[in-house]
Amino acid sequence: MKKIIIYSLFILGLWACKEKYISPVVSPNTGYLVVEGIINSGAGETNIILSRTVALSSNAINYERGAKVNVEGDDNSLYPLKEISNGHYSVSKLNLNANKKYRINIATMDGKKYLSNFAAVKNNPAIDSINYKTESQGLQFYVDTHDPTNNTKYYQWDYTETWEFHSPFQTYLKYKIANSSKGQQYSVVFSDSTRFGFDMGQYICWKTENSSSILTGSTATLSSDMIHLPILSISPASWKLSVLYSVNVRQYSLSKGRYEFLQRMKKNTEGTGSIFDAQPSELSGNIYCTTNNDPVIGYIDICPVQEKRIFVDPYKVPNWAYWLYKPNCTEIDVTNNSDSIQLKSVNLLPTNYKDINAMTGAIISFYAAPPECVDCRLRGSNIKPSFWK
Amino acid sequence: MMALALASTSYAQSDTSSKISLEVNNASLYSVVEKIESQTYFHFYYDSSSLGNFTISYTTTPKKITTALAEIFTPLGIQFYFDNQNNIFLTKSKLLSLAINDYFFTGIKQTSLTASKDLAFETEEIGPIQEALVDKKIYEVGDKALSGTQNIIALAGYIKDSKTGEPVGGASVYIDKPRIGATTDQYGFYSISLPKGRHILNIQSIGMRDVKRQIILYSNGNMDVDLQGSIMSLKRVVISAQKMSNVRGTQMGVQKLDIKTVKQVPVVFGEADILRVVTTLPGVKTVGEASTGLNVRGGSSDQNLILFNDATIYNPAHFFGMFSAFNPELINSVELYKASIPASYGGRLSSVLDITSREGNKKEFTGSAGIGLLTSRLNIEGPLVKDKSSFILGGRTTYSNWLFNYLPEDYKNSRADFYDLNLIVNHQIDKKNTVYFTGYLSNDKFNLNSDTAYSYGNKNLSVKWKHIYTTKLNSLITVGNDNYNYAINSQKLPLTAYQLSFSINQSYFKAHFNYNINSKHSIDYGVNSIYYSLNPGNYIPLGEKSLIKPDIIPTEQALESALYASEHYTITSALKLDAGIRFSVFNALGPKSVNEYAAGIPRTEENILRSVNYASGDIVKTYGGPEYRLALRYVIDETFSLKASYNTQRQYIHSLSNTTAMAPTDVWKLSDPNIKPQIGDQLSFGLYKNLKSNTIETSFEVYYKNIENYLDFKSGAKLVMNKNIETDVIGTKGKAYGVELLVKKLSGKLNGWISYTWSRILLRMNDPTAGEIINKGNFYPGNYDKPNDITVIANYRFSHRFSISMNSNYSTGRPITLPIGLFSYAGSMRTLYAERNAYRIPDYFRTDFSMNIEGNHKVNQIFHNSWSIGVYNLTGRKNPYSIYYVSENGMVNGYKLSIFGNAIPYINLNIKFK
Repeated sequence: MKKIIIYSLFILGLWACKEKYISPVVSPNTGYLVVEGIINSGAGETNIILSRTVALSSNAINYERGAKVNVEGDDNSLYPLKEISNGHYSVSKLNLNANKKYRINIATMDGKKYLSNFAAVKNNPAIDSINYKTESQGLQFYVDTHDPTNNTKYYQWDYTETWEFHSPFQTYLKYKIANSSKGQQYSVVFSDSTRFGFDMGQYICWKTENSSSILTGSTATLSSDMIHLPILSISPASWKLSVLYSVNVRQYSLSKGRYEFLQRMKKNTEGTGSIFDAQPSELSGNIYCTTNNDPVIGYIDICPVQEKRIFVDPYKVPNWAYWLYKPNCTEIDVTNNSDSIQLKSVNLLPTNYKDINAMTGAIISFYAAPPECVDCRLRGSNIKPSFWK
Repeated sequence: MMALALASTSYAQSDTSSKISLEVNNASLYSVVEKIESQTYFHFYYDSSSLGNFTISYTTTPKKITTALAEIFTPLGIQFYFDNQNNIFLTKSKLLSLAINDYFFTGIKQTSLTASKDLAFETEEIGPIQEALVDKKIYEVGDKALSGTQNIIALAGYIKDSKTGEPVGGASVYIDKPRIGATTDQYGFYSISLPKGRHILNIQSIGMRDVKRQIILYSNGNMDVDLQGSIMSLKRVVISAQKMSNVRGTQMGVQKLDIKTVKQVPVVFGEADILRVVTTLPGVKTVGEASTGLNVRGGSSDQNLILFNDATIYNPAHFFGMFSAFNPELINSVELYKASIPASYGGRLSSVLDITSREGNKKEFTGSAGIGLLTSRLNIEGPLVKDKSSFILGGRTTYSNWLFNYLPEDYKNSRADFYDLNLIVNHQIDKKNTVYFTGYLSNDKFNLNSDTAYSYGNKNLSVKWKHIYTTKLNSLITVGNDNYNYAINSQKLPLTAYQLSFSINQSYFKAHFNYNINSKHSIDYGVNSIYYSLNPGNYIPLGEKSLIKPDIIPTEQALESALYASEHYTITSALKLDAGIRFSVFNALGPKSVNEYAAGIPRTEENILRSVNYASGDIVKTYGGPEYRLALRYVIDETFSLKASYNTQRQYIHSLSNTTAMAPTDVWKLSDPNIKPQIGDQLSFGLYKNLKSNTIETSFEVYYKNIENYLDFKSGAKLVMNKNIETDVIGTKGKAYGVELLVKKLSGKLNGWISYTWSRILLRMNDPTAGEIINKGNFYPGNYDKPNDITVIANYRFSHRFSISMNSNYSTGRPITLPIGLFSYAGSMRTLYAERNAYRIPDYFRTDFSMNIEGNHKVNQIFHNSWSIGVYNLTGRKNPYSIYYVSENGMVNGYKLSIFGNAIPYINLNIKFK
């Protein structure tokens, strides 16, 4: 009997692969009105953002300015919104009557009028809790909500994250530039006359970011209106969770129509790319142009907006050692003379002295580091948010 | 080389005193021989190449044959010899021993059939030959006493492989004068009506040595013939079994592939794949590499009836569509009907893909095993009762998970497993009764880098009984059960852990009769009935914590029945007609709750007027109607014919899908009062021409097709767990047309085919009351509208142990919906879509290459090994499978996804043992 030798060959390169694709399609300048937001029937703000669709090659938002935006009740009540920044229309404390129906009425500068369908005020239960758990992909946050009356069924959330962070290096020094006959002369000096104070304004900052994906949940297929859904996560070693972190989650209750509208938008724009994806489809909402048949993107619902904020202290998160993590920041030492500074550290920021003349107090040499390691304002703002602990 | 002694039986002494008369002028040897044969019982044997080129001019009044032959051949330096069996041998060389080997061919009919014994074969070792190619024996069929009563005699029987006892399907059985022929069915059975008297019956089949039998017909009777497989291949003799069948048959738009052809085509990971090879045929397309869904002449993938030994396979794919679910070792042949669909088939609009298995070896136990990079298979076969019954048991499985570790991050945690099992048993009860049993089981499990696990499987059982009443009438009764199911489950979040499952179950009964009235008329008729039971969706909680509310969409059931009859009428030898009618009836059955919608306005959940409940056993709705199957053939000459056909089809079960590829999670739906059956009709016309002694087949076909009630989905349709699914789909009208060209050479060192298709499939939805007008009511291209498609398959055999194959395919990119703009919403830029399928992905081009290396061919060794080594996507072209845009971190990015971004080498080892 012949001996069978089985050879195995494992020569396989990359299998499925994806590459960036630039569409050859010259897209038309559509300029359809996009209406984003929800009417807050409660005491908080109602924020409506108006913009226009743009060509595929553009990545800038084209806000719709100068429009007249009103919330209209079926009892002919009228609540005007005010443009508080480009395309951002707002009104507070509407406190709408839960037994009435409302719609949005928009008149744009080009003379076109838009109306949404009248919608009833939906109930929206308060958020029970925002909680978190360490999981393999990092710190996973969940939202928990329940509606004892079992009729909310469709939910949407968005959130704003804020975190405090510190620069890896404190700075005690600053550059001093003098003009002389030989050109600009650089040197470093203490930024604070006491020599011991560092610049807090460059050391402690806050960064704020809004959610950028559509988050929805439904209990329509569940036996009780109870939600426990992952809404965001912080990856290991993220700078978000280095000093103190906070997230403010807003919850909206949705009609089935708006829920489906958002699901479709999500499928079209976030859920693409796998082998068995559904094909993209057209979006239609509940807002119509009454002047002509221009397509409009948007779906207006009415509910009280619920919010919940939590703070997370990285020192208290179990198994979270990443607060030790420092970004890739190293210091070099530089002699304090103009030539040396111009050669070595003109693109760096000085942090502290290395050698000092004990007699004169003049700095002989100093340390310098990349600016983003020194000045936190390059990555955030040093204005403390009003809600910060 | 072997030389066999002639069977020394003595028959009628050669009558060398018989007389012939001749009048020929510059005639070929062939025509002279033909004239002499027509006047006597003698047959000539010669090798035309060794005799050289000459013509004969000779005239004589009736004269003794010996004298006449001497006068003709002596001047040409040709000697002739008689044996005692009415054979005359012509030779230019020295006296021939009449103990001659049986491969000495007659030079009759096709000149290419002539050969000398030296040139005829390159033989390896073969055993003693029992079946002579030209059997000297004269077989008497029927009762001599009845000889006077019938002028046309029905002859029937089985053609089998003498070595394994397996039936030989698709073999041609014919006589030349007059030209009457039949083809064996998949069970090796033939039935032919011949004039009374003496004939030479020819039997030809691919991979088998031709057999000629001398027969004398007295009355209706049976004759079984065993054919010898050609382990060796013929060097010069050109065998073209079914040669001219493309020219002579009435059917058009039919493609038949045998498994040897399939195995030569290089495929990804080296696993011979029937469906992949079918996609290289003209008129057949697929949306991309990860899909075995076939699109035949503009039809969607659910419009193909895929039959494996009569069992319907709902999902013929494994491993995200990379492999087809048929074990190549068990397959005998594949037949694709895309235009003239026989009346015995129905229920799908576009095509019938009829896959038939082999039968097991009836003589001895043998097996085969294959080892590849991703899959392995093992098959065992052998007799249960020697020469009466046999079985084949075959299985395949995968160990592909290592592959995922080589994939990009997005796919790394994916997993996939599959297996399939086949059991095929047949038993010949007696000469008139044979039963066949087929069991098929397949299962797939996978997850695509997530905690959601998918699984699906087919389960099929069928039992067939073939009964021969008389030589003119036989029947085939089939009963069986088909099941397809899938399940999705997700357990990551205990509160929402769920399982979603879907299944189709169908039981069927088919009775088919074939009645061979005479050489001009034969009739097929029968009845089909299928009882469907669909479980459209069970959504249930998993685990105790899960809050999922069990949601079960009520089952759907229906009965689809059909009566059919078709007649094959040979009007003249040139003109032949197949006319069939199939009357199909579909009853949607209760219990069922049916929504009624207000007329004239879009079907939405808000517009439900009421819902009507039907009790169990109630007929909810009946659809039905005649389906016409007409095919006409006109032969212009032996190698050239024209054909036309007209077909109508009805389809009562639909797959609903809004994905491009045929996904395992596609839902099937039975017609009901709100979902009308799809109706299609197709007109086609074709030209068929064979070249070079029928070794090259060419065909040109053109078709036009109309489709009614083709289901497309509304924007954002939800197709899974939808209780009112009619609100999310719309019936569109479709039209498909195209031209198909095929040049095929299936013999010789260089063989293969070139196919070219130009075709379109356009859909239209312009009924405003349906809720949504797609693309402003204009015609828009279907998802698989790829107008130009060219495929070249070429094999070159250097020796019996080494051959190479090449496969190239170019096609227009398929249509996609590209964004036309962007907008900002929910913190991110997002894409704006408008017209459906308005753009196309870049064109597709791929070349594959493979080498097949056979071990030695010694007959008596236990193991026979062969290797196939190849490269899939030789040029490494990154053929886009899809183009998509996705919002990531607030920005929109476009990507091009290729399934195979590189050249993929593979190696497979096949072992046959006994």
